Amino acid sequence: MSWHSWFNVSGGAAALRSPITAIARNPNHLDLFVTGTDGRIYSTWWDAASGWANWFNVSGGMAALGSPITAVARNPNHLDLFVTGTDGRIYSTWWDAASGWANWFNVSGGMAALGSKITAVARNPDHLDLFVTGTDGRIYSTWWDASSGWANWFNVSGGMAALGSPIEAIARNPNHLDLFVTGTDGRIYSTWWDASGGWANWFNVSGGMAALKSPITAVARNPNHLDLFVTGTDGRIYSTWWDASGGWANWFNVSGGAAALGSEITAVARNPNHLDLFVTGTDGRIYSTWWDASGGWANWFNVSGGRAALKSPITPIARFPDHLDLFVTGTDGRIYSTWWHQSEQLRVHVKVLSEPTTVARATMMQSMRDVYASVGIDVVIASEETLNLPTLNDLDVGTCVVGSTTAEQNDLFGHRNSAGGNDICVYFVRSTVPPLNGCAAHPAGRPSAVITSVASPWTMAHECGHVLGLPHVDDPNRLMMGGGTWNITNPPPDLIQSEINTMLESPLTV
Amino acid sequence: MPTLDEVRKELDKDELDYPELALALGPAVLPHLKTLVAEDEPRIAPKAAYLAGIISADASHEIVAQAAQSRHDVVRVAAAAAAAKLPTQQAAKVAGQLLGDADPGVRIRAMKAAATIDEPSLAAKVKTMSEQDHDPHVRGLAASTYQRMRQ
Ligand SMILES: [Zn+2]
Repeated sequence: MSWHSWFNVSGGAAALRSPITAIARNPNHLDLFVTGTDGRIYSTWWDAASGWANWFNVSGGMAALGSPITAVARNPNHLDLFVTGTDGRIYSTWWDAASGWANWFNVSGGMAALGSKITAVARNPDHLDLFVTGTDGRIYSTWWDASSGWANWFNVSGGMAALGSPIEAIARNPNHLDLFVTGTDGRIYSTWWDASGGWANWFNVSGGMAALKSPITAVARNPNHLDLFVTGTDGRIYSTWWDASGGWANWFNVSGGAAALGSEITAVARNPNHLDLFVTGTDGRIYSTWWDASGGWANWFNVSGGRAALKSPITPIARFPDHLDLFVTGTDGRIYSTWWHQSEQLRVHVKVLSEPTTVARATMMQSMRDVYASVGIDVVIASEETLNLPTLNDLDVGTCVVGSTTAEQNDLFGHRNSAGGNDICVYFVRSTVPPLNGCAAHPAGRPSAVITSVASPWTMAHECGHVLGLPHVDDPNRLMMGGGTWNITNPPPDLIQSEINTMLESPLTV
Repeated sequence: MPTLDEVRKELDKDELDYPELALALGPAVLPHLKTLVAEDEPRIAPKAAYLAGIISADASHEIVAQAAQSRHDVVRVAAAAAAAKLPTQQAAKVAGQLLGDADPGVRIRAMKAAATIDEPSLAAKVKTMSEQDHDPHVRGLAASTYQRMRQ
């Protein structure tokens, strides 16, 4: 379990507290949107294959500083954006893989106070519903359907809120919408729409209250369950839930958490039995906690030392159930990101026929642990033993190619002792015949590698990389460079995303 | 023709394909290999000695023989392995010398090389080792190696 340190995304900057919008059209791609320091609407993307791109202005779009950009991916090759423009009109544009970015257009004549958030939900790939607090404080909605285009705006069940109040909307299933908002009296209200019954009346959720304009966050871990999060009028972080069988529960304070009035609590369900929450705390530190069906709520912790101005929203996104990306505008107005990846374990059994002479064995083991830890793999030294096998100490490894082993290798690799079938046994020998620094060839079902006494600090990590299925590369900055790990130019050596994926997909990492 | 440093870098890889390297560099590289064996750096000299053996040209014997005199065990192990690649008479000379090496691992590797060289004097030495070597592992291996060499 490890959080990476925060880094600035492609030199991006925005006004303090600016929300960063992130969307994953597919698990190996992220698109970000933000209103920049010059009021232009910017985007960048990250792709597993190519990393972060430069920021670019989206079709000349502009908005008041700090304005939220709403993005929806109705399908993996299409994005729709929504924003309140500098003239208070509600604008949209779209991106399509085939045609690129379209021009901005005003959505059905809609208007809102500067900086108002436009909430968008795609209940199905050919339908969008929008929600916003209008310039008259009424809560409005419109929809787009592939067959009929944009509808007119209409007031939702007479609902009202302070100007600029964000509306939370969630589709638990394609024929149902739930809305949440802090009303003009500071009470937390909800209504719903159902394909069969239309819009219901607004009702107060379990007596909940918050400062005017406070954002309500809703997550549906499954179609019959909702979790809500809000900063209450006392600055404490509250949650309640709705369950199809039991209805609404009472509000409760989440693990003692607190934040400045009006702070947004962001939440993501990486899987149906887990929630992660994020907030900028009262001390300006970025905090997280989680809920797990088995263990309940954890304590709040500071994420990698991160800080932001009070009330800064933290944007989380889970591209995979075992991966989180966070985005935030930092205290210096730069756009920062960090990520968390569920670490996997690689069990290594160390068997010593001969201690290395050029680099201490402890250094090799630590170097391997460091490189692997940097990509979310915990190397566990499951056992260490000395083997007194003088006839195998200068080991015949033949051609040292995958799937072909000598009688001497088979003999040596028979000494696995307690090692499991998915554990790697690393044998430290004096030398090999022919002379190599190491060799990863091993018989099926006995993952093994040998390391010789003249190996580099990185040879152990390199050979285990081969055992996990990685081939050689030319780049001398990378662990798997075929030119010899003694000649790595910029230690510690790198692993690229496709290599990390191969390592994590190996049955040896669990 | 690669420079000395280029050859050194080529040999500094974690894994090497010696037959491919021998084919690519050819006998012209032997002077560089001689220099690298003379430098006696345990990271490079074993690889240079072995490659010289694989190239198996006239100058190879001298380089492997020089490696057999190294003060580093791992270089002498490589010399023992390379000996098996030399013409019989030269192979027997290097292997014969290393059968008497002070390091039991070198003697073991020399014995494994000797088993592949068709030279009766080596078999006699291995037989003696099976009876008189100080190291029980060497004696054990010598006994089984001698059995195979007689057949
Ligand atoms: Zn390799």
